[in-house]
Parts: sequence; C-alpha cells; structure tokens
Amino acid sequence: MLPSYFEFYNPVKIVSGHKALDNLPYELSQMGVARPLIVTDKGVVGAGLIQIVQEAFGSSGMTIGAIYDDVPPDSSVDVVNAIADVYRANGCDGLVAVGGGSPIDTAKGVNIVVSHDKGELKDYMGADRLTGPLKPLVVVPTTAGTGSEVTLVAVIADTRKNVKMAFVSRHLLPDLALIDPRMTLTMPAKITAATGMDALSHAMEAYTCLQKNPLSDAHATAAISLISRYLPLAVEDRKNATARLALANASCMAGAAFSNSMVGMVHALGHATGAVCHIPHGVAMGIFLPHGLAYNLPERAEIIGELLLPLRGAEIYAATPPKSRPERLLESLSSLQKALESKAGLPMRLKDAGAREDQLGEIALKAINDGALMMNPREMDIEDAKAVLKNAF
Amino acid sequence: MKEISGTSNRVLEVDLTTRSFSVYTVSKEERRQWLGAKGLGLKLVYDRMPLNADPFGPENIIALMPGVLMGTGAPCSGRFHAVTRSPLTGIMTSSSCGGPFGMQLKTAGWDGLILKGASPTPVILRLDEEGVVFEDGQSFWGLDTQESQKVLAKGKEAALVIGPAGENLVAFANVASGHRFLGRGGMGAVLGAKKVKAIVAKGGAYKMIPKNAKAFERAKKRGNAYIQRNETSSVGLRNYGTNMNLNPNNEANILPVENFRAGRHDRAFEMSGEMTKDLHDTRFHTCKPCTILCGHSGTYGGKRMPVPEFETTVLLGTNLGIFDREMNAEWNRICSDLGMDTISAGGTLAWVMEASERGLVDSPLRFGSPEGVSEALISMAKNEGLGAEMAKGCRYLASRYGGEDFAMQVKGLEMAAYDPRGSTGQGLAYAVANRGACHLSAYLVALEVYFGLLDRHSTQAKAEFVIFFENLTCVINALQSCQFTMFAYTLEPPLSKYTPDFMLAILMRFVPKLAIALMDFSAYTHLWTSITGEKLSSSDILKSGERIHVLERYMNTRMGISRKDDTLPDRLLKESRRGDKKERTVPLKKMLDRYYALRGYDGSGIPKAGLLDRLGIGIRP
Amino acid sequence: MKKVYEPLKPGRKWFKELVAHVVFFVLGRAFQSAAKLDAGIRREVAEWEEGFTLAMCILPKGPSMLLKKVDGRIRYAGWAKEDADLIIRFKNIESAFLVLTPQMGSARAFAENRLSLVGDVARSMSFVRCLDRLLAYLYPAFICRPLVKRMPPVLRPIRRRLYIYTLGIPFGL
Repeated sequence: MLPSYFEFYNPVKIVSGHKALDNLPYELSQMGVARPLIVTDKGVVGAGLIQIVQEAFGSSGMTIGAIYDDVPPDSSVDVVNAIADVYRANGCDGLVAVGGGSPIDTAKGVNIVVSHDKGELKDYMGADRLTGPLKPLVVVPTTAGTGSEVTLVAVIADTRKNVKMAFVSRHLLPDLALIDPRMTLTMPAKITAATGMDALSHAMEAYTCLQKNPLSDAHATAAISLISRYLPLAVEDRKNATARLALANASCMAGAAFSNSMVGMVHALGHATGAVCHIPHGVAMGIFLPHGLAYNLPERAEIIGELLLPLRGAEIYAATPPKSRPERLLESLSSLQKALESKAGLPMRLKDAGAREDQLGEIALKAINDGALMMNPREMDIEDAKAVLKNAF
Repeated sequence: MKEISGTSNRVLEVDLTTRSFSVYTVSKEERRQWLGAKGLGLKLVYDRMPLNADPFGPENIIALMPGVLMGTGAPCSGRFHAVTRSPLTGIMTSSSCGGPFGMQLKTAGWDGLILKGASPTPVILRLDEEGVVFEDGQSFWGLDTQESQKVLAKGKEAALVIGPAGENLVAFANVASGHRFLGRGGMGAVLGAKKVKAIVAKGGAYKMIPKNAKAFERAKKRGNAYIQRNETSSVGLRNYGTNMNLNPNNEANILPVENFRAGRHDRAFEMSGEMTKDLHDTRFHTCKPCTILCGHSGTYGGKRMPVPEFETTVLLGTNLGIFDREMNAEWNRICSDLGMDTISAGGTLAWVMEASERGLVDSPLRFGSPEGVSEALISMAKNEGLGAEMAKGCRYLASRYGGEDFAMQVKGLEMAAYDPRGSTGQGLAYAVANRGACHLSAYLVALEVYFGLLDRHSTQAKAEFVIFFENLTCVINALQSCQFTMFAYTLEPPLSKYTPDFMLAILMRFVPKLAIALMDFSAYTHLWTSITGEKLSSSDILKSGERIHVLERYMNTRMGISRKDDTLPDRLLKESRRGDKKERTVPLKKMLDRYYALRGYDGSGIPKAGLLDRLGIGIRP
Repeated sequence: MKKVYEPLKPGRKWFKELVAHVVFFVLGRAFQSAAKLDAGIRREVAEWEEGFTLAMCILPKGPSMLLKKVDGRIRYAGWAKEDADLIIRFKNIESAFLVLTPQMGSARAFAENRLSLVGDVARSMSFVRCLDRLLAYLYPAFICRPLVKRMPPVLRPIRRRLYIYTLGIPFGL
C-alpha cells in the first residue's frame, strides 16, 4: 500500500559488526569530540561491559571526561540534572550513552540541558520544542530491543510530580549508533526474549499502523525476518555472537522503521502497563503484540497477512491462501510466544507478569491518552481498551 | 399466592411498650387525599403523635410505608418511605430507601408499618402476613449494619437494621436495608431510642394486581419508554450513577469544596462518575425493580464495595478538600457499616476542619488531609471525645463553639452537595425544605444548571418552580417511585420534548404559571389510577402533593419553625466565592416573600387557616 | 536584452486564507457549544485545568484560533495571539485547507506529517477525541465517516446540529 505522502528521516550513522566498538574514538574525533562523558547504569558496569568501552579508548589519545554509572531504571529529571553538572564540571564536549532505554533517554535529556544555556528540562517538553542542534551523542545499545539508538523520542520522569515527560524532536536523534554483539552477549535468556519481542512489536506495528511507508516497510520486514530466525537461537544459545549481532541489527532497523512510521495500540497499552504496574516494556510488548494485531484485524487484515512472509518465510507464505494469512500469522506469533515462555520464562499473560485485575481500568485510561494511539488504524476507546486488557490478563 | 387488588389498605400498628400490634384500615378518603407512602405515613403520624413529642421519647412515632406502586412491577418502584420526628433537626423528617425491606413488607400484605412506644431492652421485630413477633435483640446489639443483616435475614427475608451509630443515638444515624439507607434526619437514632435493632420482614404471601391491568401495562410501558429515551436517566445515571453530577457542578462553580469556600477545583474530575466507571470496574448494584439503574458497585483496592453516591463523593471528598476515590469509598463503607448519614457526617467533618483551622476547636482534622478522618467517623458513632459532640451535628457544634456563619446547615440538617450561590432557586429550596437543607425537596439545580432552562442567578420564577417541584416531589414520594423518574416523566412527553429548549426557557422564565400548567406529568397519574382504580386528575394528584407538603410544614410550624428558620448559612448569604467573577450570594428575601405569598403562608411562614381548610387539613390542638 | 534576476514576492492565497478564517471561527464557536451539549466532549474538557489554552494555527503566521477554559467552560477566544499550552500547527496553508474544508481527517493529517504538535501529547489525544465528536455534530454522516476512524456514537445529532448552526455559531451560545 503506497501512501499518498510520507516522510522518512534517519540521519544516524550506523556502525555495526563484531568489535565495532573499537572505532568509537575515531568516530568521536570525526565529530569533534575530545572529552566525551559516558552515561551508563550499574547493570552495564556489573556485566563488565563498560570495561569493553573503556578499553576501546586505549591508545586513542582521547580523554574520557567521566563515566556516570548511576542511572536508575526509570530516568528522572533529578538524575538528568546531576549528570549535566558532571558534564559541565569536567568540561565535556560530547555524550556516549551505553545501555538500554534508560541510559539512552537520560543521555538525550542531558543533551537537552547541556546544549541550552537557560531554562529547565520541562521547558522543552513536548513535540518540536527544540530548535537547534544539540551536542554530539553516540549510543551504544546493550539491549537489542528498544531501538532508542535511532529514535527521536526521550521519556523522562518527573519523580516529584509523578508524571512522565515526553520529548520529541529530530535533534534528539543520536549522531552515531555503535552496534557491537559483545555488548549484548551477557543478556540473560528472559531479557533477550523480552527485548526481542520489543523489537518485533516495533517492526510489526510500524508495518501495520497508519504512517507506514515503503521505506519503513523495508526496515520493518528486514527486522522481522531476522528476529524470527535468530531470536529462538539467541534464547537457546546465549553466547551465539551471530544471533546477537542479528538481533541488534534487527532492533536498530525496527527502531528506524517505527521512528518514522510511529507505533500504535500495542505500545499505547505497553507504556500504560509499564507506568501502572511497572512491567518491563519488552515483557508488555510480548504480551500485547498478538492482541493488538487481532484488534486491528478488521481494518488491516491484508497488511497483517503480509507479515507472514518475513515471519515464516516464502514457502509457508505462498502455501497459505491470502484469506487465512492473518490467522496463520497470529498462530505463528502465539507459538513463538509459547516457545519463549517455556524456554526463557517470558510471561504470556498480564497476570503472570504481575499485574492486578483492578489495575486494568487505570491502564486503559492511560493508554487512550497515549500519543501512540493516534496512528493506530482502528479507533480504540476506553471500553475497547478494557476488553483487550481483559483478554490479555 | 394470594392476591391484592390495588392496595391492601392494611397498616400494621405496633406498640413496642406493650409488645402488641393491631391493624389499622386505611379509608378510601384517606387514600385519595394522602395517596400512600410519605403522604399516608405523615397523615398517620399526624393523627397519632403529640406535637411536642421528644424525638427520643416513646411518644415519637415512626411510620415505614411502601407506596402503591411497589410490588406491581411499575418502573423504579422499589422504594419505600419513612416518616418520624428527627432528633437532628427537632422537626419532622422523612426519608426514602430502595432496600429490599419495602418489597417484603408490601408482599406480606402491609401498606404500612407504624412503630409506637419504646422497648426497654433491645428487640428484633419479625413480621409476616400474620403480624409481628418480638425477639430479644440483646445479642445483636453492637453489630454493624451489614453483619446484622447477614445474621438476621435468612432466605428471602429482608431486614431493616440500625448500626452502632443508631444504638448510640447519633443524631444523624441512618437505617439500612441491603446497601441502601433511610439516610437523612437521624431515623436510626429514633429506632435506637426505641431499642429496635432490626425489623425482619418475610413477604411473598401476596401478589399485587392492578385494578385496571390493561391501563397499567400501558402506563408501565410508557414509563419505561420515557426512561429509556431520556438521556439523563438512560445514559448519565445508568453509566455513571449520581456522580454524573460532579463534572457539571464543577463546571458551574457549584461544587462544594472545603466547606463551601470554593465551588470548583482542578482536581475535582478525579472524583467524577466517568473516572469511577473507567477505573473501578463498576457494575449495577441497584434498588429492585429499577429501570434507570443508577446504583453501582466497584472494585476499590481489590475489594468490591458500593460506589459512593454523589452527595457522599462531595461531602466526604471535595468538601473536605480530599480528592481520593479509594478513601472516599472506604469512608462511605465505614459510615454505612456504622449506620450513619454520609452527608451530615461529612458536613460536620468539614465544619470541624474549618473550626480547627480557625482555632475554635482542638482537632487534628485539616482540609486536604485524610489523616484522622476514619477515626473521627468511628468516634462519632461511638460517642467518644469530640466525636460525642460531632454526633449532634454541626448546628450543635456551632452553637457551642461559635462559627455559625460557616455551619452549612438549615434547620439543623447539613447541606447537600450543591452550592446555591450558583443556583439561587436551589437556595430557596434549601431554605424552605421541610426537613432542612435538603436537595431533594425541590431539585431546582437541574432546571437552573443542568438544563439551563431558568436563569441560575436571578430570582425570576424561582418561587413558582420551587412550589411546583415540592408538590410533585411529594406526589412521587407518596406513590412512591424514584425521584429520578422525574427527568424522564416530565421531559419526554411530547409537549416538552418537541418544544425547542429556548422556547421552554422563555415560557418558564416569563410565564411560569402557564409553563407549570402545561407541564405533563401524567405518567404518574396513569400509574396511580390504573393500580388503585381511584380516578384522580393530574391536578388532583398535584393537590395531594401540596396537601402533603403543607401538612409537613404545618407540623413543623407547630414545633416552632417560622420565617427565622427559613434561611441559609451566612456564608451563602454574605460571602462570595473565589472563582466567581461577580460577587454572588443568594438573594433569599425576595424569593422567600414571593414563596410565602404563593404558598398561602403568612408573613412569618405559617400556613394560613384558609389554606389548611382548602386542603382539608384538620387543625389539631 | 539582459535578463534581470531579482527577489520574487509570492502572492497570498487570499481565498484559502479566508476559508481558513471562517472555518476556524465556525470550529471554535461550534466547539464551545458542543462542549455544552455533548457529554463526551464535556467530560474531556472537565479534565483540563482552569485557564488551559489550546491553539490551532497555520504556519508561519496564518489564520488561527484559540480555545480557552474559563469559568469551567471552554470558550472560543478568537485569534491565537499568545503562546498556548497546546498548539496544533498546520505546516502550510494547503494542508490546513484540506483538513478544514473537511477533506481530510485529523489522524490522516497527523500520519502525513501535515500537523505538528507543541505541548502535552496526552492532552492532544483528549482534544482529538473531542474533535471527532464535534465533526459528528457538524457534518452529516457521509461527510464525517471518512474523516474519523470510527463514527463517534453521538446522541441527537440532528437536533444538536441545528442548535450549533442556528444558535451556537452565530451567537456563541
């Protein structure tokens, strides 16, 4: 389906491959950075990953401005301000975010603060409030799922007011994404499964939602076929570097796809579930993906059917009559879910993930106010959302 | 099963002092004059009770009256009425309840139950079609309302019970049946003083057969159709319950916040019926039978609880400056279990919060803080510490500690959840309502704010409509149907439905008498006539409503009520609120003069002899 | 003869600007009275804080409209001269013309990047829900249906449409 009009923007340079990290100092110097600040969290340090980054700077003649390794699981304004102070105190001139969604979003937030002389973070909340380019930002993802390395969004919590602030601007896109399978090798099976489903949901939603376009479709389908092939492998054999690299690439492509075509109700529900029940994003995505596709089926049957091709390969696709493709796709998804549940312990239902039934109303209310819903092909009001949540419970 | 054609006209008269009972037969003339339920109950009490009776004394009488509609399957007819002299206000009070007790009483063949005298020890009354047996109630004394119902009512039986608050004579204690209450005016304390812990009714002996079955089916069908068509009843009330009023009140700046200091709050929407429906998985939890379905239960913190009604949401929520649905539901449950009116309890709490803020009383309660509220509610019911004084209501507290200007009560009854500074007609209604600051006596706020048919700040046509709705409300309470049928039954008939709203508004404002004359409420008349077989025209039936209202007023004036009591707290007459651009207070005097003149009262608010004569109310010594 | 190169001043699209002015006025006034009639819109507006402002405008300095919550009610407040809490901006007059006339729904306009949003996204979701309901009152079903994802279930559309067009828009009632 060709849209009558679309936009696609992805200026992020992607450096991907085994030992790709060794190029970090060179890339930084190309951007004019001499004293980068590394932003990361305790998990990354604990897994020994920061060691790899540090070693990459060896013999490069570059000074690491500082390593801030205390980013909490949910990025917050206070942490952003603390890091900005470190940045200024150490005379840094660029940022390197190493980690999953939280350090990356935090680094994006820090970048807003350090690139503007005046104002607070909240002054730039919302869409398109940033007008000028920010400081150079390099992202080294350690979870193959969020795709944050190629997105223009950052979500930062104001813990005091208990609200999440969303920042959307093309200037929030990093300058460089460094994908190195070494960074994801240590991920446990369950997290591997969750982040894989996260990436899969990005790709599938990008392909089915209103803003889909040929460029995002290309990224999305490529990501889906990589994930369907390599996610079971990576869950089974955690040290499989090829599978890790494939998933990291898929995550990056899925990120590029949804960053340009946006996502829909699966993400709306996922964000809300995360906010209400603190269920990890990837887990929620894994739970909601089939439900979301099933809900959108009346509007998008054909398009959802097309997803069978990247997910199950040409032979099965060709052998399935077009009418039963969507159904077949949903079946394949649920068998993938089941495999991940038995092998990696990834929950398939909300109750197994730790949600309570009386929270469903609150999730539904948050979900219908989530911006992601705008691009969902089928209208979803609060009663619809509650029905979907009940199904997924 | 035996059948009753129309009404049984049998009223069970119980003397608690002698533990005996007799049967009173209602005459045809009494039936035509006083209809049933509230009207008949009031008349029976008037004939029997000395007008100087102590509310807590054995001379006080309480009448529990199902109406003529009950048991026939008429729409929204699952309600019964009670009439007595109130310990909170010292004057007559009446209250309506949708609990299952009424239906059991009625299908046991009784058109009413009158309790006289007092028992020296706790007693349980068990009644069926034969009459009453008295059982010792000592072992049930102290149980909460839900627990005692569970223990006392078996199978299809239904119990009417008081909780600890009623036993301890809290002036605003209520009486429970199911999760519904005879809420206002302290009827629980009247039963408590009589030492009646519970009345258990076993019905099912009789079936009600309307005199004219065909006409009844037609009237019923029409009533149901009106309700289904009416947006207020079939969308608003059905989906969101009475809390549908919260957002509109907030919008109109008439939502009591912090003891009526403000009329609006940015967080108020969190308490709305819409939010409650979205977040608490609400389900129907209503009186039976019902077509509107406004009552709901919801999940709060994992537990199923009744969703607080609008008045509770406000008086135990926004009016305390607290915007927390979970707390609100919990306090509602505490009040329900203890058997205490949430409006009066909340109004009293708000007074204490403001008084302690001003240093008049020493209490940790503060606006906006939920701390100590649960404890305060329990201490009221148990008469402990300041709670013992709070249990007498905010009028008493203000007379003792000062701060009368912000004691939000009229005639001792705490005010409901509408600030009359943005709805002057409601102000008049509060000031003249027979039982005190009651919103249900004449629900002008609907015309002024929700439907915008009357100008909500002027005095134009207010007296006329207050009188009309007081009379109509008395009719509804005497038939007894649900007051919420009023929206559908008056707005859906063809004339009001097809007249454009602006035409209606012009008619109502400039020729109120004509507008009232054209008002079609024949849905009620048809139900009455087809069930009882007594032909009354719509104007006859409205005259009965007037008769009921005036009798209640007359009894009140004999108990000392006069113009001096038909007023509002100074806060409403003198202070304007933040949030109002213009100074807004209630211009009461002008409306009151006109109201008295139109009612046929003299300048000090006493019904003139001519009026009583015209209505056939016999003057009693 | 030597060709002369000089700056060009493109003309103005007077007609489309005029239409946009008119539609913004109609939309603003209609929103104001629909917020009074329709329970769905009323509920959304009830959750906005007092003094909240919402602007729709055409970049860079085209016609605009400002809605403001005053005294508990949403009011059409004319041109958007000041900064608003939530601003919905059409990137050019042609896009605005498409959406306002109404040939394109808001979801599609967002999908085609014709609109840009400044401010709280959750609030804009609330506004879009209101807008869908408003369209159902303003236009008959055959016009409205292609503009929204699903026809909002509105009550008494014809009666209320009549009210909005005869009293709401001309007199701001």
